[in-house]
Amino acid sequence: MNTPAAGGLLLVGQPNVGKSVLFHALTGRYVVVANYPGTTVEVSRGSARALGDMPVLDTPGVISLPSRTGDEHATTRALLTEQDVVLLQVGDAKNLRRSLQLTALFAEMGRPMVLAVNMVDEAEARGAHIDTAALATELGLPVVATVATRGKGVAQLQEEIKKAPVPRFHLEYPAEIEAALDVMAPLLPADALAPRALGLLFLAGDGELEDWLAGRIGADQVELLRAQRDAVQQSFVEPLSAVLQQTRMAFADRVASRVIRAVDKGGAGLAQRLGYLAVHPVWGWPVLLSVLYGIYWFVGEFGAGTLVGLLEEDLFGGVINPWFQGLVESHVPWPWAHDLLVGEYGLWTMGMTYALALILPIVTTFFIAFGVLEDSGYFSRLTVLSNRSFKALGLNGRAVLPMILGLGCVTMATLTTRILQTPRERLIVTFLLALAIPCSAQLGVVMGILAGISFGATLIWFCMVLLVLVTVGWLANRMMPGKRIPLMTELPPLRLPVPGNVLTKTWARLKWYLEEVIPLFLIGAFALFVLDRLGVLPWLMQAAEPVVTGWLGLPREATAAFLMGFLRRDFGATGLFAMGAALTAQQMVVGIVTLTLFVPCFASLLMIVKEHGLRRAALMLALIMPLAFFIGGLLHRALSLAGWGG
Amino acid sequence: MSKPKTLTDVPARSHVHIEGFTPDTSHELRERLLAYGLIPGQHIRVLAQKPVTVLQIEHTELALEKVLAACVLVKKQA
Repeated sequence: MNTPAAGGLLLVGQPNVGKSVLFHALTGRYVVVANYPGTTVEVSRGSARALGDMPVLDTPGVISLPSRTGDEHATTRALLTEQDVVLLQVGDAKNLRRSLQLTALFAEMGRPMVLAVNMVDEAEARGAHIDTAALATELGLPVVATVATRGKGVAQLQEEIKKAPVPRFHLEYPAEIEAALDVMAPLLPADALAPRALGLLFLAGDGELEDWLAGRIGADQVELLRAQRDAVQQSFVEPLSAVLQQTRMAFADRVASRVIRAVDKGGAGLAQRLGYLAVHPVWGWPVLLSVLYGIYWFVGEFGAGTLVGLLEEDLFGGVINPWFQGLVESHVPWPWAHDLLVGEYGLWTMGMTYALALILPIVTTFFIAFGVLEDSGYFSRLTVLSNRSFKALGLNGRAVLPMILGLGCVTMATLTTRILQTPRERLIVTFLLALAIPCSAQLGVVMGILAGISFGATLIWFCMVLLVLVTVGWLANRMMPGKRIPLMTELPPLRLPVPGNVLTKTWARLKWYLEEVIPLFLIGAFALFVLDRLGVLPWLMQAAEPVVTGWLGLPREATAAFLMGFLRRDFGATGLFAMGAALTAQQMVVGIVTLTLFVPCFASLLMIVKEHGLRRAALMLALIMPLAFFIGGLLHRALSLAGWGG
Repeated sequence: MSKPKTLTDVPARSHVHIEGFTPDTSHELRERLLAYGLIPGQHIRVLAQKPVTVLQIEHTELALEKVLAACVLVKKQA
């Protein structure tokens, strides 16, 4: 039976098998890929030119169905609602059994389907060769061996997708279940997935499916289905989902043993040994410290030091800005326009100079360092190493992923909290991200400023922020109802990152940065200019004096920095940086600590509203702002008492 | 018969077979473990016991916190 593939191509499979890499190869549209499970948390869309502009959908990985986490639900939803799609399952060649266990479910959905067995190079390196022709015969669907990161097998995949048939696949489940499926089939909608597949998902207890069904069929029919499920459960000791899973696993095991030819490879490789070292209870810590030092050197010393020095002082300060100032002053007749363009809060002197000369080199180096680590597989090791530390915050080591991602961009990280299992974990991590995790842009500016004062200043800032993070996390854990989820996570193999892939990823992130940040920077500089002109800024400074000067001990001009902080926290830090010599070391540290904790940037605030609703976002903001000022004031007093930097 | 062994009772670097799960293992956990391929009879290698249990099944490395590893019954390879 051949069906034309009109509706599009749906990429599905387990986490971290390379769906997003294939998506990029097929569509040319880049979605961020990395070597850890849970990089993709929502469905992305593109279109494949080689397939007649067929729409292509990339979905978050599912460990198994029924779906359990927010990102997995998105995949189930796509399977249920996308009409007339071809399924492209991406499997992991080195873990064929697990991949096939999902194949057994997908292949009965009544959709045309192709299986890509990805990472065959890694499987071969580990001594497993897969006979794809034999596998295709066993499954009754086209199978293509691929190495997505190097484009191997993609052309053949495109050919197979064009003529993909609905598989003639049937897996026989235990008799009681088969009987129930027959009874359930007429009750289920016939215009979506095959009723048999819907029945299997329903028996396994997929909540997302039940929500979807509630809008499609009558409540009485749903009741009948539930009664059927309860009746079948009576025949088994184990939960139905486990029984189904075992049937599929047994099938996968049978097929895998027939198509995998073992090639002996002795001993653990260097990568594997390094992998053990990274999670070792003792040696893991020196490894972490070296990694952190490496980042500090590359981003802090090289990016924020050398590159910024070259760009900001030499290029912009020495060449471009004087030239531009001269140009404006001799060609533009209106003095107010001079101020607008090249004045103290000028669009060029403040906006563009900061964005291009100060922050751009810092985020570029950070994104490169981050990309290398992401692709190496180190972050998943960090999950294990940090698990114990996260226990106190009511979280498990998986929370380290959004937290580290937050050091890149808090907005992206807030979205990534979807990989966490419970709403409770998501809320705690989102709150901590909004409060105490500085993003790369801000981090860079902060590191640059503090390194200019002393190492002690950096240490004070770091300890304060960490203290707030731990204390607030601990309190949140105490106050929020619910239980902590113990850690279970997959550790992907350590790999040497491919430079081309890291650069593509860095470029994609930089593009996003430039698109988001530069307009905001200009708006911010413009808003300050207008406020200054209208006399609102001096008035605001006056009004904020009790807090900014009285409580924090900062000059009133620092109010402008906090105002900028509303747009983006790094603008705020940059504003302090611009005040330079007007601030003592102590004032700088107090100002930066306050700004680090201060409101999350506008974009991440919108993301929090989107993910958690307006009420919770407002509540977070109401907690964060006073807290930031409270901590800042305390620090001011403590440092004065200690006689530091006054 | 001695008390059944769980994954936490065997030292690192040992090879074991999965026997099943303790009776108090929740449905959801059982399902997740099965999805990773921890089915009765499956051979696995225990790679580490600290800071959490790390095991290798096929070519997947899986990290399990102690309370979860204690739900998996295993038998030492003869």
